[in-house]
Amino acid sequence: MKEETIKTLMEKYEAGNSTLEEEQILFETADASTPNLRRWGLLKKHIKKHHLKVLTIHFGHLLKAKPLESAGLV
Amino acid sequence: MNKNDFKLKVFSLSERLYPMVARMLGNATSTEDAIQDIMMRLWDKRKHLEHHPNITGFVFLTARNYCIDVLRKNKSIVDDATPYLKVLKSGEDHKDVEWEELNTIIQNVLKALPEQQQEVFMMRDIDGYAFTEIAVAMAITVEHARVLLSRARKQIGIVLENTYSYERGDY
Repeated sequence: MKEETIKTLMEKYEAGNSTLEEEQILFETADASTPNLRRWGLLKKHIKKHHLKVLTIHFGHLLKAKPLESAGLV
Repeated sequence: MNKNDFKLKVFSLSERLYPMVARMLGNATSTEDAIQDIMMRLWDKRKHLEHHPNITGFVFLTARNYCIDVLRKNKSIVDDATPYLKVLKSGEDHKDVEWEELNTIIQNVLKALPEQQQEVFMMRDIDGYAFTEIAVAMAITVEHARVLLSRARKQIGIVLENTYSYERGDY
């Protein structure tokens, strides 16, 4: 993939504007020339592999339950 | 809502709930039990669900609230979680050191992020949910979810950049 395309996708990713498909493409193309992206990919892979439950176990008690009525918001 | 409607509109969402419930609660057995419990709760509320304007949102929110209840009840686990985290391995020896380093970095970054940013980041980048699903589960708008995610990603990006800038000789 062209460097420019990766850069554009990375900008969209950081801005929270990328689609799930674009994110998949982005991480699939990560290599040694895009070290931070590669690290992101590595991180995601491992977190997914282990479901990284510990992250939520660490922080889960801080989470607040939301009222069910709010599900009509969107 | 009859049995068939429930199966079609609610039970069919079980698979979509799995990543979030698994991440929040842990092992596969408890996840399956939890999803069954969640579905039982939803079945009990089927009369209310029938006329709900956003059934998917209601299901996601019920699941999330259920997990938070369980986490609160099992708060003691929190104190024992650190040793487990430290023994996570990548399975690829040459990457273990990098993984452990990243693991420490990501924990520190996440600890520093506001709670909502942590949640949105995990639901999108770990669980792979759509923004509409994240928004309803967290009772926020899609736009707010995007903003929170962007802030979390940028913060994590900055930390990664600073941590590894030596590789480019930027020190």
